Amino acid sequence: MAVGPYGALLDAVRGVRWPARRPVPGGAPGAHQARSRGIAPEFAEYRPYRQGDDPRRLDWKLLARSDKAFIRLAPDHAILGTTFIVDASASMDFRGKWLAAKRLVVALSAVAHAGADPVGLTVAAADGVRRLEPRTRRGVVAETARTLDEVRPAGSAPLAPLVANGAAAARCVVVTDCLGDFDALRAALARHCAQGGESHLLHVVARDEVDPPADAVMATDPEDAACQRPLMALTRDAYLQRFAEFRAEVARQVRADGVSYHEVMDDDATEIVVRRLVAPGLTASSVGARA
Amino acid sequence: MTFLAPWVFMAGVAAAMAVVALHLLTTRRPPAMRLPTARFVPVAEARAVARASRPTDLLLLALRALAVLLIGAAFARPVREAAGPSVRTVVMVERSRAVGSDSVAMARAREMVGEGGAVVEFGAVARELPLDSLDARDAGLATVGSLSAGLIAARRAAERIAPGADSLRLVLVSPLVAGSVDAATPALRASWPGRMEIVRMAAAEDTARGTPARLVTPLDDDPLAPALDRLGALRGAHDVRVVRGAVSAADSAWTQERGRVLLVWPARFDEPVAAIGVIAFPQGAGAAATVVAPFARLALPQGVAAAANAASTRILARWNDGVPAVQQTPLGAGCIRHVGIGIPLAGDITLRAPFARLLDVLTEPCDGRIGAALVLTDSSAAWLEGDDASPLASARVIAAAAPGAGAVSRLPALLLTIALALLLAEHAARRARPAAGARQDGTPATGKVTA
Repeated sequence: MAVGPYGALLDAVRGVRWPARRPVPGGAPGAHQARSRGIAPEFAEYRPYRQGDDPRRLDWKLLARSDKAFIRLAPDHAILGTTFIVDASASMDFRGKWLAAKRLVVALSAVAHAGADPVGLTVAAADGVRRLEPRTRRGVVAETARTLDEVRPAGSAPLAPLVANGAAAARCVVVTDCLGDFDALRAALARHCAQGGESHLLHVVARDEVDPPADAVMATDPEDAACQRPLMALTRDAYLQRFAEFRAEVARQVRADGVSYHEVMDDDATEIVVRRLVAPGLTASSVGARA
Repeated sequence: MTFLAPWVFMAGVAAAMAVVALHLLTTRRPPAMRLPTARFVPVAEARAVARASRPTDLLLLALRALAVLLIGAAFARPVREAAGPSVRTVVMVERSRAVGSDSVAMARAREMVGEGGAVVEFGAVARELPLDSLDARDAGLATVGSLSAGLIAARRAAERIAPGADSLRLVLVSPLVAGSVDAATPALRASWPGRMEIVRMAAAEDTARGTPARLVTPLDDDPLAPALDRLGALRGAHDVRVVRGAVSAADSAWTQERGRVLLVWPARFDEPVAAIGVIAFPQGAGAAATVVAPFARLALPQGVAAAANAASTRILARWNDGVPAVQQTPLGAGCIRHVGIGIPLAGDITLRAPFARLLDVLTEPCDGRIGAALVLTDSSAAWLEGDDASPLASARVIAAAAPGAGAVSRLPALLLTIALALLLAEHAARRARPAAGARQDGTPATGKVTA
């Protein structure tokens, strides 16, 4: 598997598992607990026999003792298709945001692929959407990495339509800085959750956005050349307050919709972020926050 | 080039430094930086005070600083430094009959003037002499030179030669007789900003010495005789002839020679009216002689009174009501003095000191008395020299005080023209710059930037 500069990162996340946040719909056998019961050797519960059930699943010994027909049920496991939707707008091309996004996607792809889950990729770039359908075959992680490396963030492309087009009952991971069509994206993720899917929003933030240089600069929005604001001592405090309020509001709204929200700094160690992100039950706090 | 007002130039230098500082500390549009979260920056004036480690727009900075420097230099009264000695000498040489030898005095003046200096002669009037014609002369000399006139002429000469020199040396070649100093001399001397060197010349021989006065009188017991004898014993007498009767042709012929005084003093005695005063005024130094006695007031001869207003006629004494009492008229190289003072036959008024003083004035030479006895001593002339430790006069001070000194030099106009050209070039350079981008010249790029 040619993964280029991601080798060390993949080694660091080897063995990490990414369980689903809730039972997945039944399907092909996989690593995630399914909502359906199967015929696995381990016993789970009995269910009265109904016409049409496979007679081979009858517990004949119980029928002999109680003269009642019960079906022997066992827990079922299924795969969970995972699709990464990556924001490749111009705002992501700032400091280490794009690199952090790529490393996150590659690492999480490897983790998901290690759990036998199909892994897909959708990159919203200025020159069009690049899509890799979810697959489980070998080399999908390398292909994901290669696709991401070929993309250079520019322009602006909406993310919400890409979420809406995804599989309803799958895991959808959106990697973005939330500076684009956030309201539409939030609605799409909420809809995805309501359809039984699992949604993750990885909010990538550059350290220089949280703590910009003290020197007076004319801040220019890379996605909107007309937006030029003087960032200096007079406006710095107001900027810091506004941006902090924005991040807090994004986290609050997204979590209220049932979406897993994680804020990731561009200088955070990716393997640590991944381990905290996949930890079961960790859904609320900022994963990217350093210990 | 040097400056007559260097503090103005220093002010220009300070202004140029302020221009450089303004280039370093100025309001400018901050540099642009890509920031995806720019939308969270509040809208504000797109200008900020910034401090640059090194100035940009070096061309504009150089043009502005140079223009300010040139303006400062133009108003600092610049003068060119001409090649020549840094110290130049102004020699004041007295040319009067008080000087023992005019040729010696001029020789000393030639020795001391040096390169680029000036020689000023002063007698009754003063003037600057061309350096190539410093010749001695005998005729037409005043009795005593006027030091005040000499100082004024020396000042003008100094103002002429001051440009190009550092210091000016003032040398006075004079015997320094008392008559050369008048009431204006101390103030004029004080106006010279430096010390003065005095080269003492020998004074002329005492003209008070000569043959005793000859008294031609028809009286056997003339009261004037003992007074003249007493005067001659005390100070000697000039070539004076006192005629108490009618003036003969021989007397007039005798008077034709230089320096001779014919004193026509009628021996007629009218009734004295009362005690009456007469005041005699000496021509040279010394106080007026005032005598109050029962003199007879004699009328001056006809024709002489008519000539009283003539330029050559001089009143030597007046009565206390202002009427002339003694009148001098030139005759050839000598002079005739008509005396209208009737001496009483009784009494000893002629033997008293006030009358002796009056007689001294009446018998002084036609041009006044000069002599070594009236030469100022070194101590009394010390104020002329000033303090030995005081420096020479600054040529800049002299030149700065000269009327129209600034108008003489063309440098200020030239410097101002260059400064104006630089300002025009600065304006053109400022207009030629790109309109956008960071600016440090205080020109706003945009007033307010909004999203």
